[in-house]
Amino acid sequence: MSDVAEDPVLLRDYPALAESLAKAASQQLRTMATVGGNLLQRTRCAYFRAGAPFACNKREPGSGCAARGGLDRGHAVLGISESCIATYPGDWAVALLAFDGLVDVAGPAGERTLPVADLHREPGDTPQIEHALTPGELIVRIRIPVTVIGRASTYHKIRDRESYGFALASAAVGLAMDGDTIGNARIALGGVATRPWRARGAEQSLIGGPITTETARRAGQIAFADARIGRDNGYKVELGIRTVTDALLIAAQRGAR
Amino acid sequence: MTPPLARVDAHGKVTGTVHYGADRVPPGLAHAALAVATIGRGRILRIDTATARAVPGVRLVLTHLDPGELTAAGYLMAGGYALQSLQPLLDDHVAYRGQPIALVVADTLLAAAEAAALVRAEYEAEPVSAELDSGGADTLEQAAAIPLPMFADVNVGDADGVFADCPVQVDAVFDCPPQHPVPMELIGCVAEWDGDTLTVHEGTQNAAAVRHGLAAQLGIDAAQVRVISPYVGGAFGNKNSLQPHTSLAAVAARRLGRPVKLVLPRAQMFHGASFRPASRHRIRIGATRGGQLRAAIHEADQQTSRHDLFPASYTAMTSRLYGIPNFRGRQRLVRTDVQTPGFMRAPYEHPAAFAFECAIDEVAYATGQDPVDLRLSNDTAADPVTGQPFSSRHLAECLRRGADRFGWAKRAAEPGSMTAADGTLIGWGVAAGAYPASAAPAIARLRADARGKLTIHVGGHEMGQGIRTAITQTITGDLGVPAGSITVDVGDTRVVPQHVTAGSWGTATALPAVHAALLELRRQLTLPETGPADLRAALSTAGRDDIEVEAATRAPGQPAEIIDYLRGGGFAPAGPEYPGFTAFSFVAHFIEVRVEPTTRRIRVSRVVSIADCGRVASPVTAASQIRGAVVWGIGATLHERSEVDPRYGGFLNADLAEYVVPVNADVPDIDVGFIGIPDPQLNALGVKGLGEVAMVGVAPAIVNAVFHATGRRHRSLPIRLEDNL
Repeated sequence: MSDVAEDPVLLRDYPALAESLAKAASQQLRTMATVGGNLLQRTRCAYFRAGAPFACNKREPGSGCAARGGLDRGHAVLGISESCIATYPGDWAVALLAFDGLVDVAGPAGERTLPVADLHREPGDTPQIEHALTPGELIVRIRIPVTVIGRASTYHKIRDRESYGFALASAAVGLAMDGDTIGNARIALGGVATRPWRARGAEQSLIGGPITTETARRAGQIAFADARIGRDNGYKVELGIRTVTDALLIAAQRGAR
Repeated sequence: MTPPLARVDAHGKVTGTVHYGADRVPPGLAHAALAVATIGRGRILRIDTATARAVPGVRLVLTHLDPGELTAAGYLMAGGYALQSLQPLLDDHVAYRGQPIALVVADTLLAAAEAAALVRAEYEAEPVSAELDSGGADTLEQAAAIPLPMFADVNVGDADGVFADCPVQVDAVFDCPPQHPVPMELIGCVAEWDGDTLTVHEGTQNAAAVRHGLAAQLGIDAAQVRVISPYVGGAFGNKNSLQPHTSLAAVAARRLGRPVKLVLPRAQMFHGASFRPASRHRIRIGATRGGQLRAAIHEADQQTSRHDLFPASYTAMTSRLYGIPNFRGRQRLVRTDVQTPGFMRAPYEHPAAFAFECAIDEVAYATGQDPVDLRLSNDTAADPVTGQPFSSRHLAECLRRGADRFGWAKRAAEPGSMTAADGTLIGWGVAAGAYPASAAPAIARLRADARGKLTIHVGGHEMGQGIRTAITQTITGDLGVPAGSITVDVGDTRVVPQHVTAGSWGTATALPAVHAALLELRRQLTLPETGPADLRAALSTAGRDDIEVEAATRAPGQPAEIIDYLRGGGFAPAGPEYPGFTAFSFVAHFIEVRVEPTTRRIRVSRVVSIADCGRVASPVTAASQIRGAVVWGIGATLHERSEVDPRYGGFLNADLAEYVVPVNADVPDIDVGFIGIPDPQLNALGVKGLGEVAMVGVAPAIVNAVFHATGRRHRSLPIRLEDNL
């Protein structure tokens, strides 16, 4: 992870990708971790991780979900189901999703390629199934299309401390300006959904208009229009909207340089 | 004045040559792991250990011990030695989630951990009351529940009557969450028997309690128990008593005839050891329109366990922070289903200062006074509770010097009035703190030889606060001998008695004994009482190869018999009230925060902390103590909360990823200053405690700064993102 995070080409052409890695873990962890392994990092849901006595459909299908009605401050508001509200914790996959990343997978049946968008699954009724890899498959390569939109991009991550923390809300965004109007926009969300979350409606809302605090905030509101909140995580909607707002304005500044 | 020494054990710590208690690997070592209860309260009906026993390498599974083999050691604060009165594995009662229900011992740690995870229990569960507001939590008036003078209500003047007549009144309730000390060194021990003698290596602040408590539990003489705690990797109160599992390791070692190591995994540290209990504080302060404080009422509710009364002592500090002539303090204890909570750095003073100093800030705004001026104009030279003078009190100078260094005069009073170019809100806050200047008896034994080597054995524990450095600095400053010639032995019951090192009394306890031993050495070698000493020449003159002297010291007002009590393992701190004077350490913190305009992240951007801890015994480690305490304050204010799911009890975020403490990126430069005026009434060296007072007031300084930045008063800690949106 540290090698990729410090890659000069990535830093220049895709600051959002480099930042998502730099903010994903402490220096020591980044040095040891791999970009493939990080994609499938498992949820931090304490009820999932702690084992007994907590019911968890992801750990033990059919047992229930202790997080619903419990301490859900860190849990998802997008992509949740009756059986699971666990947040996808990663950063790198969120940034890859925003920029249409692909993963090459090798397995007993040979190699195949799938979009990062198809790698992670929403929990639905089967939260124990988290991704599209079959047993025996390995991620062997990550590919990212070269596009001008990556240059005016950022990964904005809001968390409980400045480093070594999982996102409470994050946004990977990119903007391609066409004069004073937005020609193309990318927005993916982290820390708020059960999987890396692409906000296509929010992207569409920006295209053809100017980038202002108002248009940026409106995009954020659209991104969270379908949010469903629990006991303690309602703040994630407003925090997420503000995170998207700031991220878009940071990206716009980079585009203007 | 000799130049300040760098931390004498820094090199060893950084290079890994320093050995902590559980680093020890004796031949034949077996490893132990605990299985813990998964219910929050109830009874064990059945334990199935068959699968655990079947794991290859498992040698022993203990689930129930009879009184012939083990008894409870008694609660530390009720005349015993242990974290709590409840000793696991003696009966089928479950008092809290995470309580040990079995001990597994195996040839490898892996096998022990695997087998412990395979222990299955059936329970009869009962409803859990885990929080202050839980139904079923019982509230007790402390004054009646613990009828001891030091835990009584404080009543000075007519606080309620005067408050009612005050033209300016502040009345607010403040909440502090449960928090855990999470020292880097996990709690653990290595227990070894040699015949009938038990040796325990353990990182502890209280080798005496481990020694005497184990002797009582195992029914053996204390002379047969040796406890060695040369280094402690952070304690903060977490290691100040006999832990419930140490005796289990000793029993297992005796049964197996092998040394046994038991180290709590991080998650078990949250349930198997002490924590800072939740507390709630209603503060009422009455003042004149000109900002003269006339009356204060501090009512505190504090969580304790079902089985013990962890006493509350919040008002002891708030009643002394200013010269408030009418003060009423009342404290209640709320029994909940947890392990017994305990002392965690500035255990009472940090929460109390948060509440009281935030309320003082409200008084300042209500009266239009500058918060520093208000504090200065309400200073006092006498202890308002006893009427006797403070031995030394330089709080006003801390405030003045801190204000100067911080540039406080440039502060615009109106909230939200200071902003950066990008819209970032800037806030400046101030708060004061105080902490009892306690001391305990100590014995020091000093040996000098003709090669110029000095070895000092003294009561005290090295928890990273720098006691070795302070002792070395004292000896090298006194005799003029090189620091490298001095060996300091602490935390070891084999030579001199070890009193618990806690409550910021370590330096004021050990250094006077060291100083007394130095005087005795000079006397026996007929050297002058002060000045550089040529020990080799003096020994040669005396015709000796070496010399060993011993000295005992005690806190002011303590009787001579206290030394025998110390030798017997007694708990014997004195203060803050001494015959003729009251002694506290003081501090003032000035803190700048920056609040992001959109996502409202709060960052502490600048800190100035000025402390009055008497004479500064070791400038390098003392400054480090303050920086560490400020980091603790930042964590306590913006990050740390032990999460409780009331349906289950216990603590949910029981690891270092989810129990959020500050990282380097959260911590700005911390400008540290000392008043440095000795307090000769407390001890011959004039030193007062520092490690705890340094944290007192950090939280309210931050919270007051956030108010100054945003106009929002926060009355519940920690302030997290969602609280400030």
